[in-house]
Amino acid sequence: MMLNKLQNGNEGTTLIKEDRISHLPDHILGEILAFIPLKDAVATSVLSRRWRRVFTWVTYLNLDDTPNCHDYCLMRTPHTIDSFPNFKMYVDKVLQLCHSNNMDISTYILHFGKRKGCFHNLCFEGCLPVLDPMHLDAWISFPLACGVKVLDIIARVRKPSKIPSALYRCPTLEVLKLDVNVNNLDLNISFRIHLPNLKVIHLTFLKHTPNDDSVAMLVASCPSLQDLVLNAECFININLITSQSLRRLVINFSGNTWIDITSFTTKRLPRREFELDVPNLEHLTYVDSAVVIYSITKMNNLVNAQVDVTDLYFDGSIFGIFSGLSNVQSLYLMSRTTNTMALMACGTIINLKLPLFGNLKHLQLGCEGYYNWNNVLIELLHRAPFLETLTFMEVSVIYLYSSLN
Amino acid sequence: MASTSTSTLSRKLILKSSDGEKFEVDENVAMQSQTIKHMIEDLDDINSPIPVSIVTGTILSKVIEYCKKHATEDSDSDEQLKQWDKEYANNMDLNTLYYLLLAANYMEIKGLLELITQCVADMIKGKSPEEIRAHFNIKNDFTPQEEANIRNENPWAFEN
Repeated sequence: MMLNKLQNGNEGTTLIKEDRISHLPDHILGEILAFIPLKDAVATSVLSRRWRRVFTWVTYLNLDDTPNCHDYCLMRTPHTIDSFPNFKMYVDKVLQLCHSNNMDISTYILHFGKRKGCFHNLCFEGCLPVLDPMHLDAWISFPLACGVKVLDIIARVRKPSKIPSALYRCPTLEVLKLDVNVNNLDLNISFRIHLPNLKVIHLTFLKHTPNDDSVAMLVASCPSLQDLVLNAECFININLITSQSLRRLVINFSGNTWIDITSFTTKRLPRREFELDVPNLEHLTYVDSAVVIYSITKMNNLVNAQVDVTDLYFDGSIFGIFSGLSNVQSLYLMSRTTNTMALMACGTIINLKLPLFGNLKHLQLGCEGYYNWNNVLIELLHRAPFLETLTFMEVSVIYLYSSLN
Repeated sequence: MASTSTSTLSRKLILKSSDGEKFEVDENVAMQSQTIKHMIEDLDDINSPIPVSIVTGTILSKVIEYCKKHATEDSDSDEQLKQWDKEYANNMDLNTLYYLLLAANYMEIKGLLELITQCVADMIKGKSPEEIRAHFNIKNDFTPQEEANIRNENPWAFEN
């Protein structure tokens, strides 16, 4: 019937009064409603018999408590801690609706309690919403039985609980993004992990991490993992990342910095070791300041790497990281890295122990700070025989000038 | 394959609409349609017209306009392309949008399908059920009692 209509219908203005939208295939209608707030989508159930259940084909759920989010602003509530009960009621209603209509949910986004520009660790508990641990558990677990592929959760609650362990046994899951103030980063990975299709993991750590291997376990247990992003706004101790399938790795532990500063005046941090066994990696971004000793498997297919590290002990062991990067095609050493290297090189305490970068075509160097880093530059150029471009980043002109002279 | 060994960029394909209209397009323009891409793979003679059987010439020309714009990379920034998309969709009447949706769906052109879907969604967003019915000429075939019952199932969805 559909085809006949298409072929016979001339697209003249005479037909404009026909109800065409109702004749669209089911999945297209579902996709249309996925673009509008769920509240509006549910309201289409009253249009006609054809539309009675169209909203249940929506598989994209976006529950966000920020006021500019269309779904929630329809509830006409300003974004303050006081409005949380309304948000809570709204989420409960939506989940009840999905449950009673057996809706499939392929994408589940739940964002609440985090305000832009509000650093969680400077934020008093009092400004976080109160949600019963069981309730949070139910909110996070809900889509796991609905065929969810993308799970994206940002949550801040006053008395954080654990991540529900069911999360680690979801065979449909492909993308997992977690930014949750669970207790001491208790990822609660004590059960058998079954995430055969998980390709993307983004984790944000908000509190000091106990020295455990839960992240290492999680990563090693995902056979399809390609993309791993670890962000930490606090001191964190992850000792091992091992994955054969991983293509992109971002480690951003910039939060480790402030601990370093205090460690000079109070007590020294234990010498942290870090083992990186990701031989098929193509893209690496690495920011950390609390690691001292590296053990790295050579990455033969590495396309680009960005490195921002510093050495707490000034013995050069930090540069062990370069041994794994020798095949890289494009390398960006950020200021902190080049500064550290400059300190090492000019003191003649130690050689930089750089490997030969046989594939390196593009080198970017951060060069603010120390002026006496021409030794580093010369050493790098010696080690990169096929270099095509050299770019100075984060440049402070005076230092560059005096350095080149 | 030997006869078409010249640069892949310059290869031309002929698309034939349901009403027999023929369009010569660059291969990279046509390849934005997954359906056509798969058809070409199975095709022995690349010079024979490729039938796009359920799309009329009027609609096909609009589809090609979209594909041409999106086939030429680097010429426009993302921002400019978005603006172009917006104007492209805004210039269509409801009927054309409907046929474009079906064409994009059949030809599997993801970007176009998303663009038109979003455009139709914007027409629904923020309207009352009565306004939506009027806009799309949807006939209400519920009895008043039936309609009241449905509203009572999810009353929160009908609150302002």
